[in-house]
Amino acid sequence: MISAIVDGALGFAPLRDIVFLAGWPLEHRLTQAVRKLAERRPELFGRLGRFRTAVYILSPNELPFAFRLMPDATQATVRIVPAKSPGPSSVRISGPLATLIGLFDGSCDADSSFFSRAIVVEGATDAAMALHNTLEAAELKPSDILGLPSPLSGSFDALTGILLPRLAHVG
Amino acid sequence: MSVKQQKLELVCPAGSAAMMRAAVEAGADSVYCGLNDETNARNFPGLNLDAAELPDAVRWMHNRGARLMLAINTFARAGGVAAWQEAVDTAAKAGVDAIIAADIGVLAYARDTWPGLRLHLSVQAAAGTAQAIGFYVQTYGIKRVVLPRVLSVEEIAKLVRAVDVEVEAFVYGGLCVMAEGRCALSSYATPGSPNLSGVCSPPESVNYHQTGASVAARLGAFAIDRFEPGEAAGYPTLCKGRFVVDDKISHLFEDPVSLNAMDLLETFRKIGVAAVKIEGRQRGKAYVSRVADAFRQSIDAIEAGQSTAPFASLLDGLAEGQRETAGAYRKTWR
Repeated sequence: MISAIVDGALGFAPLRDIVFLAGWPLEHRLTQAVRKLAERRPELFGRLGRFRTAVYILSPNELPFAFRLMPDATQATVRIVPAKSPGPSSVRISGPLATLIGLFDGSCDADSSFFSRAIVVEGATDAAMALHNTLEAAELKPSDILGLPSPLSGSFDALTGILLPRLAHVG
Repeated sequence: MSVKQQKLELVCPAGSAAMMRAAVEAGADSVYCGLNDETNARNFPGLNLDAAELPDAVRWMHNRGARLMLAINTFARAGGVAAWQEAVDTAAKAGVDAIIAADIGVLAYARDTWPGLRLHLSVQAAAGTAQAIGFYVQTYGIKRVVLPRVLSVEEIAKLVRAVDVEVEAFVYGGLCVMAEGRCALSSYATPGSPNLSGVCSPPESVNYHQTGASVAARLGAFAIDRFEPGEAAGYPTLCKGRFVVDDKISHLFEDPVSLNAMDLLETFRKIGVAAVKIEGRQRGKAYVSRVADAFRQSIDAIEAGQSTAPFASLLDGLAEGQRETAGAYRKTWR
């Protein structure tokens, strides 16, 4: 029903429209989370150097959509895009969702994931490396990535600390 | 010289202050870092410490009884030595426990400018004979040599007896083609060099292309490998690429494989090695936490007269190419 309405209204492929509509609250939250992080810890974005304006596609294998990130500090944007047609980018990093989250919070070793072929990097390797090294230095928790308020963050991080390693093994 | 047996010092890598803290919390005695410029051999985007971070990092380490060493281990550029001299000054002012250097100009500057600064000879100097090491001891006053990974255990035992300086040996991590400090392969294919600009296979020259189910790795203008589904990958360096020679495809220079000398720790202790080193400043917190923990438990087990075997599995899945070797330590090809 939703897809039919959107299809008629905008003339896009149904899946793309659903992703677009469903993704808006999430991309708004993620964009705000990155921008707040930039306000709190501007030095992290200095590590990115010229890659602040690089465009990253982060594509979890299990999902029909991907995250399109431009980590330009307080001008950063996160968009939800269809995994099969994410648009132009500097680099695309694909892998299991749990592994990608593990790369963000530093609980997962990126090189091991690359050696084992769990993650695939296509495009500008230097941009991928700059993002990885910045995240490594950042000591982010999953709640930081989602921009959760402090009353929720402790419980959420404890829960993901239990669940993500199990998901990574399943993946 | 007499051999002094002592508890092995565990020296771990850190590409950031966060990784440094993770290493110490997992059991490292010492951590080595670099500054975020061409003065160290891991000059990758976003990696390493800013000079302004160094004093706090040193304080954090010292408060926990740990030591921080700064790698200034690339070779200073003729006509442009200021960056290396500034790095030495930064290290000394921050109160690091030692600098790790290879270039005789950098060593001479440190010796003359900061007489109290402890000097370690980097693996990049490739000093693997008593004569070469003796030269660095007598001329620059180095207190420790990091051995090149070209020596067998028997050769290291003889060397330890022949030199009057602490010996540090790599026990885990990436391997080079055993011409440390002298490798020009990366320079042949890319604008960067591990010895001069601190980057082997600079990432801006590396590209991966998915073709169907396989992934092709390119370095500069060269296709250097192709990985089929399920096939373990290695670092995108020329030395670990696969090439066709006489119609046969092979790793012409070196297999993608990591060094693991955990089961030689007891031998290293017996022959008088002072410190064992983990490679991998470019890896991250998850890597250093696991490797430092595994080697911490192994070293403590040796001190208690126990086997290191229970700790081998702690390193599963971390190796390049998903394979490990004792490398030249168990040299069988000569």
